[in-house]
Amino acid sequence: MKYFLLTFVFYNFCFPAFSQTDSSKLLDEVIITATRTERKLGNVAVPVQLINSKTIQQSGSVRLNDILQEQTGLFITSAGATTSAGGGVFGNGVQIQGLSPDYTLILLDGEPIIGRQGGILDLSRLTVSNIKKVEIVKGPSSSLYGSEAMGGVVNIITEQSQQDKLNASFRYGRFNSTDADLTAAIKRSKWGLQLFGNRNSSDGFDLDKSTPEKTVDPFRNYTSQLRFNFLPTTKTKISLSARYFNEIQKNFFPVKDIATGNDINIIGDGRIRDLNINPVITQQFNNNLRSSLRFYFSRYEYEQKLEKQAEQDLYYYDFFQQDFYRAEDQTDWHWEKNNYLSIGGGLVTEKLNTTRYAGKRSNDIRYVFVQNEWRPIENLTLIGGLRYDDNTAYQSRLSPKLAGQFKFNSRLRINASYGAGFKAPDFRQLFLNFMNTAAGGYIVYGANEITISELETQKQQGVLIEILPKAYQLALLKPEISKGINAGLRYDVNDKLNFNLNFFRNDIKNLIQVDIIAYRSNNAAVYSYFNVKKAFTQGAELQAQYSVSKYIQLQGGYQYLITADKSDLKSIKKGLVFARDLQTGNVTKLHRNEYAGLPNRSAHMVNTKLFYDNSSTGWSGSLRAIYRSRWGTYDKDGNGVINRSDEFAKGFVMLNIAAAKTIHDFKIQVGIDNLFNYKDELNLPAQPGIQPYISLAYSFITNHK
Amino acid sequence: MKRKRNLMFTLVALSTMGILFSCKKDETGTVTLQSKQVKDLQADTIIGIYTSGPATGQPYGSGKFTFYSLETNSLIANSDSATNKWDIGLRGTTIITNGGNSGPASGGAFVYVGTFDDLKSVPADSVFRIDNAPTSYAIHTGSGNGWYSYNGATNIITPIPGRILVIRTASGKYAKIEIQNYYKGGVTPDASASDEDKLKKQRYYTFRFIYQSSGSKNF
Repeated sequence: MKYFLLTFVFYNFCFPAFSQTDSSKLLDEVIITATRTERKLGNVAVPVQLINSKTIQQSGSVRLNDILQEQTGLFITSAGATTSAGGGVFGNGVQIQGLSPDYTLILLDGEPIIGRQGGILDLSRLTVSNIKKVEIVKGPSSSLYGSEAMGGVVNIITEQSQQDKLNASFRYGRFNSTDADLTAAIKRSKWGLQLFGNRNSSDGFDLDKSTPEKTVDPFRNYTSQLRFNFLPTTKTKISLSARYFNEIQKNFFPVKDIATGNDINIIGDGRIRDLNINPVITQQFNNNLRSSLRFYFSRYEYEQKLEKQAEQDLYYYDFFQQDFYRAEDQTDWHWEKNNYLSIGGGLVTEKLNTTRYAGKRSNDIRYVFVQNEWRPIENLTLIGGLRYDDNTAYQSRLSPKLAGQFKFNSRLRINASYGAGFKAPDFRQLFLNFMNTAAGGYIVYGANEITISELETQKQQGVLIEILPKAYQLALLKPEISKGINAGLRYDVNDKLNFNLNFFRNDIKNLIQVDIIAYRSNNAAVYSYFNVKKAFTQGAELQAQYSVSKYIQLQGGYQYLITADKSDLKSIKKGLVFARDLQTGNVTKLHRNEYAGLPNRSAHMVNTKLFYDNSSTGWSGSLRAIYRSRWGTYDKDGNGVINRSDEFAKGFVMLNIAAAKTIHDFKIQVGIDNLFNYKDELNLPAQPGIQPYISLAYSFITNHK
Repeated sequence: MKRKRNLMFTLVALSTMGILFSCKKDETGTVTLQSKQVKDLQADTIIGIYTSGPATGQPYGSGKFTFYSLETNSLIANSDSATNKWDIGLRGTTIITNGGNSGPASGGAFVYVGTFDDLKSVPADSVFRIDNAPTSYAIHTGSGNGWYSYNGATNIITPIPGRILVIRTASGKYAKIEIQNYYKGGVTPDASASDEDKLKKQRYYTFRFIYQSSGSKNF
């Protein structure tokens, strides 16, 4: 750790500052996600991060989680808000500012990706081969985006046809993993069409050879995407995007037969299908007024069918289908010399059809939003925004936002923002109706699926033996909400060296938690959902960029994070929480400084990256290291909080390298991810260890630049 | 100030002597204030798993309570359930006292928050709760409510540190109990242990207690 920090400091402070490359050029790059209008990065008042396609290529990234894990303050995790670390079954989600993946909104070209399992949207569903850039906005952004935008928003912006193009690439790596792309694009004066196809597969891997099942089962998936745009007049733009994703995973694992005690092999397929269709029409009425009408349909389907291998009897069947329809309009009006107004509204219908709930469920949402950006003087930008989300299945929500930026001079600018975020109760919290016959017959009801009078009827019928006091608190769920403050500065020391510093604090309340409401006659518990918990996350983030020479750029980032469950903290301060030494049995009062906060959060995360790119020789490459300090996993001494040193997963350093050579239209890249072969089966089940790879790319049409 | 400290020292010295003295007395079988430990007390340990019916997959034991006398520090036969011989009964995570609708005596209990050593006497304003099975027990049932917490992710039951069971015994005396472990041998299985292992080893109590035979509320 010490060595690592030193490296970081060395990288960022010790290089002599002279060369021609201008790292402050980044400030001129356009970002859309922060304000829903195109703004230069340097003028945005909220914390944002931009990853361009060149960085993605130089890093040898294949899926979205590959590139996000190397960004400051982001952590890829399989642990959601209600699942513990090491669950591993729900894929790779992203934690932003210490908020669980459940609270980050993932957009594809501005439209939400749906289909969460256990609250987590698996980022490995998304290929990065056709991405133009990834925009990340940190902090609550529900004033523009509504539900889920609590910790932040990740917007993946895919390529549109810029020129005629025909590219193919193929990558092969350890575990027989392959990734193949084909991109074709046509660009004419009034229209453009881009077609993209990707196939991604792997044999999976096994971190525990003593068990017959693999840690990750073999899978293959296909992504196809179409982007068409048409400019009938100079003032009108029509576009259509469509994407289809299809994955099959071959499951195999043994289970113990309860009656005989023998192992039975279970075999079957897990399938994911994901469709997105997005037509948009934009009209530029005059220089100061334009309007966009967007339609969006998305369907996410998950189906798992498992059978006993020998008898071919059905063992388990799970089907989950979610439909999302949206119509939205946004009008941007430059209404006075220094005022930019955006007004919008939309209608959403979500439908659900699944074996997990009793019948089909749906929810309608209506929303309006308004945002005004005012520049009273040249150096000052002030933004105010408000959004109202109204629906039938849970309580409505009003989300404000205030943000400001002041530029002292061309080198120093400060930002501050306040925003509210919310996350709607998810379908399972509202509609789940689930009896686990395999694990003792416990039942979980969504909050909208059970009432106290129904419980009382069940008790009269003898189904329940006891109704707990908690059951009388059953109510319409409120959205989980957060209030966040961000304040920071950017300082450009010179054209080559800059720093970005941001402090954040997020106060979260109404966190939904499952609780026991009754006991059944067989003593199994009956659960439902309640708004109970309160928590906070706060910390600081420092980023630095340094252009060493025309060809070499260094980047470094650090996030310090403190989190706590507020009721745990209160109990600790009152002296009601104790710790037990599991060796001696000694019990002592827990002190504030022994409490490690929410599980699955690291206090320190560091990344340091070196990029090399020399177009005259065709060589490029990168060296990227990420460090994550220890994080809490689960309580062992019974006090419900993380405090003992054996309640943590070990911190780690991961080093990824890649090098590429371009010869005319041909490019070859070799790389090694996780060079130190770091593995932690229990706490990082998605990390297979060292992964060397080689990839080849060919451009059939030479670009004329 | 200095005088006060001297006085404190004297008091500590005296009380230490007192303990020594009472220990001596213990040898003659009258009074003790030393804690006693009970290991691997089986409380309806699992004898099978339902293979049919609504509770398929759920483990079961004999369904009977294990009765224990704190006064004599010994097991009491299940056939003596309707007598004043026992002070506490254990079945799975449920602990009953000899009172209310659990037994014929007027026992009761409550859960004290603090360490075993900190509880030097039963606070004057304490309210002893009475069993009213199955809807309410003197010692609250359920994870986080009474003496244990259950981790749904690892399926492990752990005694909550700093939770002391204060018992009014069948004979109206007082005792304090600290549950130390719920698994065989006093060792909680690893989170990664098999479910089978976790089931087979559970419902074995390790606890320590102090029984105050004088009838005083001081320990």
